[in-house]
Parts: sequence; C-alpha cells; structure tokens
Amino acid sequence: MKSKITNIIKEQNKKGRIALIPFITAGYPSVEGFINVVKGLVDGGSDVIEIGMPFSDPIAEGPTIQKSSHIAIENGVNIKKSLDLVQKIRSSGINIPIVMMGYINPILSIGVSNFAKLATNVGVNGLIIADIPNEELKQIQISSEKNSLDTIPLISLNSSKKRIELGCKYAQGFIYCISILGVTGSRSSVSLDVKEKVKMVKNFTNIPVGVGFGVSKPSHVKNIKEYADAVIVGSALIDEIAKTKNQPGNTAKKFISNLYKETFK
Amino acid sequence: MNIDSPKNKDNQFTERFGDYGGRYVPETLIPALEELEKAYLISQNDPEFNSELNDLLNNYVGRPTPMFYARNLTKKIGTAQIFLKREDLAHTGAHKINNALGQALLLKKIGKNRVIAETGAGQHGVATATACAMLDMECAIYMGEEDIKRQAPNVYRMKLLGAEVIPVTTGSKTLKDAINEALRDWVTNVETTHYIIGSAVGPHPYPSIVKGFQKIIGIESRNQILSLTNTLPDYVVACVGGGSNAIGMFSAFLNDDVKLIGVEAAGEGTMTPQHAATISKGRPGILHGAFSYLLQDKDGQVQEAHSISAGLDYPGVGPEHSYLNDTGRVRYVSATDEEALLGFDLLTKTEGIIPALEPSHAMGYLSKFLKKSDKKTKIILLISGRGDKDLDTVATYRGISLKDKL
Ligand SMILES: Cc1ncc(COP(=O)(O)O)c(C=O)c1O
Repeated sequence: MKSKITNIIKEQNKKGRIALIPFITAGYPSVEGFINVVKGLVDGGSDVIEIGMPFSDPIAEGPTIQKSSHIAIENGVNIKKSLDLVQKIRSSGINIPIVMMGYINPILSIGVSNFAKLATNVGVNGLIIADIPNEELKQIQISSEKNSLDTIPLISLNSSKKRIELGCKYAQGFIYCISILGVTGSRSSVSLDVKEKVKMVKNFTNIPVGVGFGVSKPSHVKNIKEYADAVIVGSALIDEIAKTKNQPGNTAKKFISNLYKETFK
Repeated sequence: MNIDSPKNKDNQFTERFGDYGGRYVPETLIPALEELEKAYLISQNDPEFNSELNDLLNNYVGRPTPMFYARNLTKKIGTAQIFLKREDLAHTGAHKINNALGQALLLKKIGKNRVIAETGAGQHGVATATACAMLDMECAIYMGEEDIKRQAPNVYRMKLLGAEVIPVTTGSKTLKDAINEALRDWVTNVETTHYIIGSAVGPHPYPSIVKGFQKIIGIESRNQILSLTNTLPDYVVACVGGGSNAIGMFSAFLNDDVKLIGVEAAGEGTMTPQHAATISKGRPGILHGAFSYLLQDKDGQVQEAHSISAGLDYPGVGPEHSYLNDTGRVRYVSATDEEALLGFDLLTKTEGIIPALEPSHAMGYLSKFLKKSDKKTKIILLISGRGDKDLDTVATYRGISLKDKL
C-alpha cells in the first residue's frame, strides 16, 4: 500500500509544484485557536500538515517553537490531548495528511506501540521524532507495524553517505532534509549545501524529499522548488501568528496562500 | 587491580548499561559523537596522550588527592572508622577538573578549538574554563539564571579565566536547561565546537568517557585504603547528581565485596514535589540523549528538580547508575536539604573541612546511618568538592547576609 503522504507530494510534483508543509504546535496559540489555524492552513492551500506535540525540553527547537511548546503545555496540551485535537480536526471533515512531530520521551511514556495505535485511530499519517537517530527508526517501525503510520527520517547537512542510506532504508512518506546545522527558527537565507544533500538522498530512494528548518520566505521556497519535492515552514508561520494575536486562523490562511501565490506565480 | 578486565562486563566502554544509555539525539550530532568515540578510544592506547594527561593530573591538578582518616569524626560518632577521599583538594576545588582536563586534551587531538559546557554549581564551568585557559581554547559556559544567582563566586571565577558565561532563562533556569542550551549550541556549531559535558550523563560515548576520566578517584582510593588499613572498606559512600564523582569512585570497587551507597538530594523531602531524588522517585525515560531514571510527570514531561545544592539539582541521572540500581549492586538513598546542612556543619566543626553542599548530602546521610554500624566498620566517604562556593547559600538559608556584619 502506498503512503498517502507520498501520493499527495507526488501529485503536486506532477503539476510542477513543490508540496507545502506548514508546521504548527498543537494547542498553540490556544486550544481553539489551534483548530482554526489548521483550518486556515488547509484553506490556504497546504498539502500536508505537520503538528508538533509539545515537550518540556525541545532541544532541536529555536526560541519560536520553544515558546509555542511552552504555551501549549500551559494550555494543558500533552501527547494524548494532541491526538484528541487531531480527532477533532478529522471530524470537522479535514482529510489532508497529518504528520505528528515530537520528542521520544512522551511517546515512550505512553508506549511506542500504544502511541502508534492511538495515532492511527485518530487519523495521523506519519511520525517524526526529533531526538532519535535513524537506527532507532527500526524499533519504532516494529512497534507500529500493524498501523499505517509512516516513519519519516531526518537527514542532516553533515550526514555521511552511510547515514543517508540508513535513513532511506527506514523512510516512509517522505524524507526530511534539515537545511542548516542548527535548531529550528527563521533564517535570512538557505544554504547552498542543501541542494547537494538532496541530490545525494535521491540516489538512494524514490521517496519524496522535503527541506525544512529556517525556511521563511517565498524566495526560499522558489529556490528549494528547483531540487526538492516538499518544503516545511514552521517558525516563520508561528512568528506571524504570535505577531497578530487575534484570528490566528486568518493569519495562517493568509500566510500559506501568500507563500503559495508567490512561489507559483 | 581488576577494573576493566575483560571478564568485568559491568565496567567496559559501552553504549548500553543493561537497557540504559544509548544515543537519543538529533541526527546532526551523530557525526560528532562518532568522532568523539573514535578519538577517545585511540587516546586510550596513545602513550603520548596518557603521559601528558598524567603529568597534568599529578603536577597541575595535584593528584593523587589524599585519603584522610577522619579521627575526630570517628571519635565523635563513636562507631565506624571514616576515611575521607579529598577531591576538594584538587585544583579548582572539586573532582570536575579530572574530566574537564581529560576531555579538553582530547579536543586538541580532534583539532577543534571552541569548547562549550554547562554548569550547575559552577564547578564544572570553572574546571572547564581552567582547562581552556591552560590549553588556550575558546570557552563558553551555559548556566541557568537561578544558579548564576546562587553561585556568584564561581561565575566571576569563570569570567576571570576568560570564559564567556551565557545565562539560561528557559525552563527552571537550572542545570537541565543549561544542558538544553549547550546541546542547541552544539547542534549549531558542531563543526568547530566540542561539548565537554560535566557529568556521567548524555548520549554515548559521554557516560563511558566521563567515567573513564573520573575512575582515577576509585583507583587511588582503593590503593590508599589498602595501604592504610591492609583491607578493603566495608562501605563506599558518594553523592549523586548526574553521577560522575560516584561512578568514578564506585567503578574501582564493583567487583569487590564492598557495599556501595549513592546519596541523592531529597530537597525538602521525597514526599514533597521539591526534590532531586531521581533514582528513588523517578521512572525510566529519555532526557539529554540517554535512557535512564528520570523525574517526569505522567505525560512524559520532565519535572523540575529541587535541591539546596545546585550540583545535585537535576531531574536525570547517568545511565550506569540506573543499571547499578536495578542490579542491586549499588544502593541509592537520599538526604534532605536539612540533613545536608547537618553534614556540612559536622564535617566543618569536627575536622575543619568545609565541604561543598553536594558531598554534604553524603555526610548527612552517613551521620544518620552510622548509628546502626559498629566500630570495626570501615567507610570511605567521597568529599567531591570544597564548600567556598556555597557559603552564601548556607548563610542565606540561615537568614544571614554576608554583606552585613556577622
Ligand atoms: C562538588 C560537587 N560534587 C558533586 C557534584 C555532582 O555531580 P556528579 O554527580 O556528576 O559528581 C557537583 C556538581 O556540580 C559538584 O560540584
């Protein structure tokens, strides 16, 4: 069975487009606001949505996502509540692919196979874990075998050929290429080295390759479109939502539709 | 000496201690961890590295540190014979220098010139800043804002030594958050920077490397007690924060018929939420790259630890300690803030040794426990550091301001 995530990305690529994957923290800016943000992101033209499950010690995040994570925890959102929110999104008729991003400890805390089952039941399509290296994906896959949850590996700018091969071996859905050495957060430019990395990854797999971390502007997306299949935008979106305070759904919609228009005009 | 013999499974350079340990970090850090592991393993058989390290340990740090028969304490308590292993006499005032210097020398081999470290009590920060001053390396130390307040003298020492001290304002603003920030810096600057972690925690190979540089404490102690008394001790007692002083000491005695006791910080009591008794009260989880006991809530969010001692104020613990707890080889207990202060006073008044608040926990526990032991019992108590850094904390706790007339 082919992955729903892979299918959607490839469909976009066939139309000459790069798939847009916004990232938002579950329960940010508020529990209600988050649902509206997701609706706005869908209306704005997103192809897949990545949802962060808040963790107390998010070592791969820069200040923006750290803060959103902290606020979400204060709003009472934990791993189970994050999945409840996905269920709410699904029952409102949204069927866009959803990828959950999280840290290993909360997942371990409810049990990896239990998490996989709960996530699949509410309609999650994929999982990214920020603080495990790719050899650990094998264990995650074994634990979630009965479920159709894609495990999405991360490849870094400094990953060796051997490690890229390892990531590709366990990859499902898409492969997440980190565009910088560093934590999440908007950057003014995207390193040229990413292009080389994506090329290397494509030697090992036909699964789509997405680029994320630091991507903040339409010009970045335009550039990445030339060599990658999907692009992930997180901090820039959250910064925008933080700035406007009211009507986060509208802000999210405008952000994505603007990115879409600018990229494909 | 039987440590590190092949048959001693429990004492080898290893990624896993039972199920504990491992390497749970972002993919970006894997190349640096692999590079570090390789460099360390090569250094172990490199005569030049070892003679340079030994020279520094002997002539710069002042090793071997003495083992002192605490006759007054023994007399006062009137039960067991107590021997103090004096890491407080090491250069910079704590055992932390053994690891900081070892790792800094290793860096020279790797060829990186920028060092980052985290610090709680400031002892590891001072030790790292010292090693960097001496070996001419750039140094940045992450320290929680809360700890900057309570360990002011050490902050100034680091600055005098040429290190940049970066305040951490996230989370509980203590050691855990300082490690988070150091890891974020490392992910960003991994190609030019080495992270000298300060305890036997973190992803593989750190727990094994830190133990490797701290096991000198145990090796010396074992030789010293044998030459002082002709026998092995009955008990060895050490405090446990992340667990570097304790694992350095315990590693030499794991195969002996010696009872090992690790003392965690119980803060305001393990029945309150205000403690740092990770092994006694936590459950296994993953923080800072390793699977080990962890103070966490039911959702797997990490809880804030509490202790009067900044060096023990950490919700995690080194993975080998989790293993040694589960196998029953080491018994982990805890001492409250109050008990630590009793220990602090006891050692100060009876022996004229002002200990750091961290080993004061071990002393505090011991003074309770000793009532049940007898005269022939021999105990090594590890004094991991001296108390100068803590004078302000102790005074404040007692409602005294050091700026006023005493
Ligand atoms: C004197 C002293 N002892 C003990 C500790 C606790 O660390 P560990 O458990 O790694 O020895 C510290 C930490 O700062 C310290 O300064």
